[in-house]
Amino acid sequence: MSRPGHFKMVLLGESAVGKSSLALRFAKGQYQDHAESTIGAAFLTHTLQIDADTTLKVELWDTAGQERYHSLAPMYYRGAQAALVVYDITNADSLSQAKKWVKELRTANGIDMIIGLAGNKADLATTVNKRKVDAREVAEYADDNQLIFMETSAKRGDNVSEIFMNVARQVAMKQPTNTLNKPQGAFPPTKPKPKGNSSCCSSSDSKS
Amino acid sequence: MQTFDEFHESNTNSDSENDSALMEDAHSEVISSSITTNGSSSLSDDENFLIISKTKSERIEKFLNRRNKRKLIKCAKITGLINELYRKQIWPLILNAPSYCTVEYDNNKKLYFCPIDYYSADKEQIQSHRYYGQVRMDVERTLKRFPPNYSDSDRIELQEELIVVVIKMLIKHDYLNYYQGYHDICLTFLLVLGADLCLPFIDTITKSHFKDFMEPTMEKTRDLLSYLMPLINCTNSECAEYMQKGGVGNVMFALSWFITWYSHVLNDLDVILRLYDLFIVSHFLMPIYVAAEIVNYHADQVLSIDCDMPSLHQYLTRLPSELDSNTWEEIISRSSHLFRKHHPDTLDVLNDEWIKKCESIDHSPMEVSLRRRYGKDSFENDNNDEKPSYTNDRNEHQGALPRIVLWGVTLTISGLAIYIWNHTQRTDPTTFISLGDFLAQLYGK
Repeated sequence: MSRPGHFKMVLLGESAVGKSSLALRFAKGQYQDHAESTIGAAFLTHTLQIDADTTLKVELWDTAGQERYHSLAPMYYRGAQAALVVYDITNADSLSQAKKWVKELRTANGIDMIIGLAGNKADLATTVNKRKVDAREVAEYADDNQLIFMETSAKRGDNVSEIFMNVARQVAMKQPTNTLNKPQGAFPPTKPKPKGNSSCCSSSDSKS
Repeated sequence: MQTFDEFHESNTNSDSENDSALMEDAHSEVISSSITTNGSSSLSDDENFLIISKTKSERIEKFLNRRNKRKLIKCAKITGLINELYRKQIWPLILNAPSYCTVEYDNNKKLYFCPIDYYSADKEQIQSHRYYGQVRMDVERTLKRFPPNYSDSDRIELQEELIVVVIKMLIKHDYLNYYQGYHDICLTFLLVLGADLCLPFIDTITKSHFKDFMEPTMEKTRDLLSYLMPLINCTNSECAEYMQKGGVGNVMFALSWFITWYSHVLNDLDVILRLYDLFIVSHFLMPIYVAAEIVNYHADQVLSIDCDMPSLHQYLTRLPSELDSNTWEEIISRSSHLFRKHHPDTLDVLNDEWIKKCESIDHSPMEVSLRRRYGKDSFENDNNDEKPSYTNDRNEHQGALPRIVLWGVTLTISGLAIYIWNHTQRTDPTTFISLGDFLAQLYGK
């Protein structure tokens, strides 16, 4: 029997490292050469088949990369079970920014949060030698900080579904079965109760 | 030649007139234009459109020839300024330009604006600016905003101009912090007014409408955006409650609507420009009123969506791009009405009412279950404003307490009863009974 569940995940990282492109590749298998800048945040969902009897719907917040939007970020990562922090392998500064995000996430959400670290634009390392960040050093950093690390290419699709799948698997392992098992749409009701009645739905869900 | 101040002076009287009188007048114009539509019902839609456009353009021509600023402002609000040719002439008239600017007219009464060399900056200054890299990245990724009739080389040229325009503005006003989306605003002015002419008007409009978004952080922006829910609530409280329960009460879906005047989310340049006509002559919070009316217009559909954040957020995000031009006109008209009914000065009162209401919504069982969806962390990491959720949990634990006490008392009494039974039957230890036997004796016979 299939066990549908869902979890909240947030994409963070410096401007133009490829967050929206990773999201688009992950959710729709597509790539655009010139992706628009994200204003505020974009939201998308994609369902993953974790194993024979578990599916997980990823509720993904793709945030704006510009530092100015930083003060809005807690609204998106608060309560998120997972994050994918992205840097650009051709831009060493973007790795420093990624490390800052990891630190902030660990402070805010603790060690339980599953964090992936994606070194994006890996295609540029082979087609044109633009690499500025050494993968082995990042791998060590990722080990020390319990991060799921992969180099990815949203353009070619390399490792994109893999890193999301690895994050989702770890979320599934950490989450208690009853949370995963909670069927989508069991609450709240699809129809609101009449005006003025704020305690409008059965409280049975909250006791389950 | 006439200086801008002289021009402005000639309109002082009309500017001082009561705005509500203006709006009433405006309302009657909407009615008269709808009468025109109904009166020519035997005509095709295209023919109707031509007649209305002709009437509109005749009216605009008339006001433009007379340089009647008050009437032109009214046109911008109520009907829009139809095409880019009019906009290029009228936007400079209805926007208050900085005082150093001058206005010229040629024989055809076309307007040319000649700013002094106020925004000059050399290449090095521009390229070394702290936001240069960010602006370049954003502009280079802004492809869909350019009209399809632009060739690649024209587009690239315009993109370079846009970078210069944005950076020049930031150099001139160092206290302004660029945000992703400001380039969308500047691009719209650049497309209408051209590279030289747009600078003073972007300057004016930035100071009057965008400076709050350009503070060092976005907190002020977030606070201003939060007026949206109170505005939905005062027209459609059921919908507002439903959205709050569904977890979209932080209205993040409308952030880009607000700070880019919808230009980031709309594909149709005509609609974008129509909205800009309205916004440049309106209070800087007008985009929030428009957002409220977009939601109110779809209130029934909102209520039919599953009450969860993903479904609601995705539905609401899509709304502006799915509206046709007639619906936009309806929404603009309703927004102006909402603005008159609830002026920005009264928004804090509405906001207080909404916050109070949220407290009762947050205490409803549905909110508890919604919060639970996001796991324990969402409780632990919430800020002070999320306190009601702790209260909910406490209330729930308190609800469980009587049940625990009841079971405890029942078990104690049962145990005591067994003990007494065994001790009153003191004959043989093997006859001591278990709980099962006791219950069998009690109920079985």
